[in-house]
Amino acid sequence: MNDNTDIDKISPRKLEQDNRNPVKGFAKTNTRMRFFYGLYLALFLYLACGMGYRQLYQSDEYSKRGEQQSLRRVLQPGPRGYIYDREGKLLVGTRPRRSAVVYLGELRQEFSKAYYAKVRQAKQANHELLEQGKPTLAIKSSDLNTEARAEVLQNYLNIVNHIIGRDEQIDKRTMAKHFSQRLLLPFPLINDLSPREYAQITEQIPVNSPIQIYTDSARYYPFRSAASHVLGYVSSADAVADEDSVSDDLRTFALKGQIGRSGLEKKYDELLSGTTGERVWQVDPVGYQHDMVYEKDSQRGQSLNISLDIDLQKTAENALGNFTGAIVTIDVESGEVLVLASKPNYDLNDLSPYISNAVFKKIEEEGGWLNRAIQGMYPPGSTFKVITAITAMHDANIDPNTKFECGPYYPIGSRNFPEHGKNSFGQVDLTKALQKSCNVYCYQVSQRTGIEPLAKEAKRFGLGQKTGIELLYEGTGVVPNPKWKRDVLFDTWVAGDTANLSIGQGYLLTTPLQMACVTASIARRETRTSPTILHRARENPALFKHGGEPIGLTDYEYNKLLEGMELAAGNEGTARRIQIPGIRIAAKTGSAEFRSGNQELTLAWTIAFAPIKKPRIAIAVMVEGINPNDNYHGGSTAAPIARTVLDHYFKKLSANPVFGTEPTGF
Amino acid sequence: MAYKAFSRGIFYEFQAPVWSGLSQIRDLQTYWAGIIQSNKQLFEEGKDLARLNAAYRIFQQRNEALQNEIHRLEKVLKIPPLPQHRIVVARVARRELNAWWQELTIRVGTDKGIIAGSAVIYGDGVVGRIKEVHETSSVVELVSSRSFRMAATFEGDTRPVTYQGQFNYTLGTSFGHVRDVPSDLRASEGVPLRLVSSRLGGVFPEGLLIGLVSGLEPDTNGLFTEGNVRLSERLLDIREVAVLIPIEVTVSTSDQSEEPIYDF
Amino acid sequence: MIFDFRWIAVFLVNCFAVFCFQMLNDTLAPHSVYLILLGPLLVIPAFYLGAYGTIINTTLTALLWIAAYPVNANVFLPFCLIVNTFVFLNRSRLVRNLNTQIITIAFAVNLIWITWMALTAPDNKSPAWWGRIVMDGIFSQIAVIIACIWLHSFLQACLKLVHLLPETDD
Repeated sequence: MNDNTDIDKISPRKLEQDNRNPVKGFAKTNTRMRFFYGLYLALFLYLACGMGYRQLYQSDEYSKRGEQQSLRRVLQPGPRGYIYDREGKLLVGTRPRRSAVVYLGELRQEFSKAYYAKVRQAKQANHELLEQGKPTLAIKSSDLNTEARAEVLQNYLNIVNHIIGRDEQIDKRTMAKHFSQRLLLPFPLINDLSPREYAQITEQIPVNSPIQIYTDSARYYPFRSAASHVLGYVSSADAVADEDSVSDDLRTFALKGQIGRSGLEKKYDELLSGTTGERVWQVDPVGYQHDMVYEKDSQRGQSLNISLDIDLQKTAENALGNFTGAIVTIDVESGEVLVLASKPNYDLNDLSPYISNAVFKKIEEEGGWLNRAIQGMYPPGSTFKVITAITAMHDANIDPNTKFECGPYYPIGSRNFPEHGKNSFGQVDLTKALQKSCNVYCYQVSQRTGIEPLAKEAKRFGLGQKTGIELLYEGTGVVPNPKWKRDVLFDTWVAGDTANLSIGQGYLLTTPLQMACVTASIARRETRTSPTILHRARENPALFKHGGEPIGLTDYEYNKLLEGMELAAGNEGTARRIQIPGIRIAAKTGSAEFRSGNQELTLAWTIAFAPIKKPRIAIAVMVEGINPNDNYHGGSTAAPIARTVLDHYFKKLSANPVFGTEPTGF
Repeated sequence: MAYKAFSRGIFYEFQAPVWSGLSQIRDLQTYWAGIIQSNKQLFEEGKDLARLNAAYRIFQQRNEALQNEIHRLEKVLKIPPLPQHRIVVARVARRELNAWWQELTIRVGTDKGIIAGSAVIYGDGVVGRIKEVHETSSVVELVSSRSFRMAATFEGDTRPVTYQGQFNYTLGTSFGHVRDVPSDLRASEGVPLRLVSSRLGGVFPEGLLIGLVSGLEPDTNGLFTEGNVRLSERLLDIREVAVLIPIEVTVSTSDQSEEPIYDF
Repeated sequence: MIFDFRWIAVFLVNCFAVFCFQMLNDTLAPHSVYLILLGPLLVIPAFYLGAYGTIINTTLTALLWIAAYPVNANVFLPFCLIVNTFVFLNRSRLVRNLNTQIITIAFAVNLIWITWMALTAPDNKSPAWWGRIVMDGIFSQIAVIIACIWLHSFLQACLKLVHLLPETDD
């Protein structure tokens, strides 16, 4: 009792009660206790408020975090779209790639059982060692776990091995990686089953077995190596969620999809890639799937119709045979590329579903990666003389009938610039110059015009710049002029450079595609051709504007040009081996020299278009020498190849008059 | 486990003769029902059968000729022979067709050399697979059973697909499910695709009809299509099947007689 | 009584009933109707046998059923024994000759078993599958009523024939 208490004011009964419970009495009367009451109240309120805040105000956030912790997302890539040729023939498809897999969540009990058996064995072994007085071995549970899992999986693999007659083994490292990084995804026992193996497993493994068949896709190329550079290849990459994915914040496992690495597969990767599917799984604390809570189907990507004609492409590639080189053919009106061949090439099926070291090495050694049709930059040789001829008429106002005296060489400065074969053609006009591919004529024209008109004309026809075709890594080529030589080679332009340029040698570099475009442009009497690899991408191909301008020659001059090119394809022309009975062809051959490393190599060119009246097809063939002993010439090497391609084209055209305009496939 | 298997075996063998007997009685019923038909009706039916027999004899001769040609080409081209089968024809003793299992019990077992896993067929195509074999009877898992799965192809196509049974609707027909169908194949009500067996799996011979597919839809992967397979209505009413027992084929055995064995 | 061999007669009646039900299902197979008639086999014998007899009869009937059908033996046998035991222990509250009571219990047992089998069936249960289960269930339950009446009468007649019909419920 407090001494300050006024005892007289307290009733006796109360006093008696308080005496029985001194604490209570004390508490009621002592003001210091009020402080503690207040403190407890404050603490209690703080606790209550905190709990209320967490459970009411932040409940959504915690609920979401709880969900995130217990939910996992699995991304399933959509299969890629197909690529068809202009007639609807399948060029790139998708083949199923079947694997025998197990879903690890269904094997948990077996893993546990095997693990405990291993632990017992290890302990038993240690016990025996102890009895023998030897030191015991350390029992590492992680190692035992790995061994137990490998044993269980090997048992299932042995079932599959027995059915299909293989002898595969589990790779523990791959298995451990899968457990740590891809637990939710099926574990592959055997990849890429053949159809027979797939059928055997389907029939002989019970439906409810943990062993299942998992199917994803691999690219399939029915025409193997045809148009390999154009089509390109894919490699595997983790599937990426779509932009409208609802579960971006969840931990994600991605199955392997495909990504384009070259050619059209890379250029149109987004279009060809399918929509990624998603599955959101609820998982248990260990991470195995428990229940699927959300599913979105994958969808195939869009398909692509390209302008190539696979029949013609195969013919062109067969015609090239073992040569290194390129062939480009273009539909003159629409600019659609019918053939874009480059050799050496490779079988695209060897790169699917992945590129082995051996295959990569082989292609690397053969130089097969380079798409010579659009990336290879070469001096065009005498095929450039058509531009020289146009420059002569258009820029220098040289009459086509003007004759120049052409001996076996032409002196410029201190050098003698030779005629090919040391020929002496005598009096040569424009048509004869083209017919005989007279160098001296061109030298004299070049000295009259000077470099700038030649370079300007070359650029007017699109040389020295990309054509704009829908393929990646297109080469630009080089159209040299004094400024270029000063800036790049830190040297002065000389008259000899102009002479070399006039015959398509020297610093001038073009791609076969550019030369094909030049040919098509000349056929249309224009300066530019805008090539396209897509079929029917242009609404009205016959009226399509290629972005150039009329050549600017009079009818007489243009006809002379054509006459010269037709004579070149005639019996006494350099391109006589291109002749096809019944077809009037305008052609020009070229034989160039170029230096590769320390070697002097030759190039054989032929450009042509046909028929001369209402031209339909333009072609450029380039054959590259790879050894100094390769002595290639446009007339003997490239012209027959061009003939083969043109012959096939016109045979097909006569069999199907609408060929080249309407697809006959689906 | 051993005790369970033992007791199950004992009780099964106790029941099997009863099923066999009931099946025999049923056959006898059919016989007597046929006996009391009028002579004229029997004569007509006999004539129809005779015509059918004659047609089948021609088909058989053609088959023999084709078979001989195949053997000859296999020898010339040095390719392994096609799998061959011994045929055992059997009567159905019992049918159990419900939503959980779809089974038939047939009146042949190890006494006629039946092996578990053998293919079972009938006139309209695939019946199923031997699931269990006992002394004088065997259990066949029907093609419409949910735990039945096999490799198949579409007629005219060589790419394997997976067929799995589903169930049969009450008072309706049986259905199965086909998946991993290449997406360039099209099926419609008017032009259904015929799903046939594939010999790639090693159990069934090539080309036996499983059912018809009238519609295909993209599957969840977007790679393939899948659809329902309508099985034959006769499947639920089978009374006689043929079991195909694979035989080891060597050069010498390929000339062995393949006369079917009958159980009656 | 240890040497009460009524269970043999009851078991034989059960066997006969099982075969009849199998024949019925065989006949209905072309129409895709399947009847599960387990209830009468478990419930009715429990009214006519002693403790040991009922266990032996139930066990043998269950083994017969397990041999004929691919059911899970680890679940089915205990289920049968539990049902049988339950009915046996409560039969003093029921009137043996009152079919409605027997039918009600058999109805319930059958329904429980069908439901259990449906819920424990493996995955891939589509709505159409459930439709089939429901239809078969409906037909089975209707058939249970008829089967109960028939089996009960048949069992009584057989036991009377061999002079083993019990006067009391022991």
